[in-house]
Amino acid sequence: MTPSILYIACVVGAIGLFLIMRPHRQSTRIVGTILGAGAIAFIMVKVLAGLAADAPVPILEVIFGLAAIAGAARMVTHPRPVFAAIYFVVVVVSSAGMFLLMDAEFMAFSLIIVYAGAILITYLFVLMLAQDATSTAGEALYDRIPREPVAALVVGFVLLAILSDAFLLVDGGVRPDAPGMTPSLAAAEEHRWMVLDGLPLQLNDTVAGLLDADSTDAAVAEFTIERIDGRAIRFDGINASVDVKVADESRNLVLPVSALPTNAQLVGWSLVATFPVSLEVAGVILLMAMFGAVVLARRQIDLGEDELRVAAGMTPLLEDEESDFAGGSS
Amino acid sequence: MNDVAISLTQAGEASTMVPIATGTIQIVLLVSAVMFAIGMVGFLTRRNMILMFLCTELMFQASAIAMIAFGRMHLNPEGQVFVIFILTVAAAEAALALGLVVLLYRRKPTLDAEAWSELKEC
Repeated sequence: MTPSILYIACVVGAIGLFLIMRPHRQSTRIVGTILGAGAIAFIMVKVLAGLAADAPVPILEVIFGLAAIAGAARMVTHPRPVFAAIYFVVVVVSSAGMFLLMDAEFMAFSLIIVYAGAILITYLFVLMLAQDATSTAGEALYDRIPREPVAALVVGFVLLAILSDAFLLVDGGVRPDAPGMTPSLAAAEEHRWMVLDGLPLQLNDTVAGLLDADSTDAAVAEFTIERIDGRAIRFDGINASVDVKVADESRNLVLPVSALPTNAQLVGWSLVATFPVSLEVAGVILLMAMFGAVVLARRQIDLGEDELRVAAGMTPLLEDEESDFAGGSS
Repeated sequence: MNDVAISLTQAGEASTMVPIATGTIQIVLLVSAVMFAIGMVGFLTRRNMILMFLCTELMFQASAIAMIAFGRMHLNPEGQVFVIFILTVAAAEAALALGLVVLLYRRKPTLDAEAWSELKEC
């Protein structure tokens, strides 16, 4: 794929999005949808055609990606805000699907729970709170007419051209199979075994299960895992093994692959072992956001002079039955 | 014992220990770039304040996809940790932005961002 083809596809996609943004007539919207979908499908086909013949075709990624892009395009162009928010749910669910395909199970489900379950619901609440309940016209004028669509499309799609250029074309694009790009599988696996090494309870359970499966007689009562320099698991590039002392007899156990920590454990380990300060800062950010939201959204109450005195801890000046009676009844 | 373990390693190879295919990562990065561009266009063209913030969420989402993809490519869970932080920032932003929108809506009963264009000072 040459750069000019990519740029032409970006321009066609921009024109398509421009036509979808004008919801005056159904026909222009259909033409815009066809142009945009054609542009993105063309680039995807070009990417897939540039692969080696025996490379696996990422069909599910393509499907989820097209769904996400369609949801995103509809979200930024839909004249009704509530529908736009619901199209964002489509985007969230499709990206969660892509996360699943990329072995990020924990993030996929937390994305659905946090985004689709919490953040989107908050958006919908505020949208419905702020919508003019008395007007039956449906779509407000400011939701129907885009602001500076041509300039915005130029900015957005120049950015897209540069980004996709970098991803797809520069030095053949992002190629994990290029020399130097491929991570060492043994190093990655060793890191995972080290994570298991840092989870002593789970390591104990794994070893106990292995010993149980190994021994013919009753369950092995006592064992100690021998640690050299604080590390129990030794990984030689193929096998990970631990030295276990059972009843004064030293044994070498090879850990099965199924004992590798799961995705959620890896993420949690990385979170607390590599980024502990960032984790604390994230907690502080959330707390401050909560305070900020409370302060911002609180209704401002105008206090009278006397109520200010009371709030300041002074005795009110108008201390008679009349004001007490008025306060009690209101 | 060792032979058994080796065959286990080969047969039950965890899917995370396989390098990602070139086509997969290119498609995923392309999708993320397109989503980011669309989110940016949406942020610039929508006039509804709430939807402008929703478009920033779309951009967050796109960068999260890119991070997960690169983390998968390098077989490194730190890409997913960054997505957790993105989620944090998105939640904080949603809380603050929506509080702000509610505040502004009480002053002027419209969601049009142009209603506040006097803040531009020009």
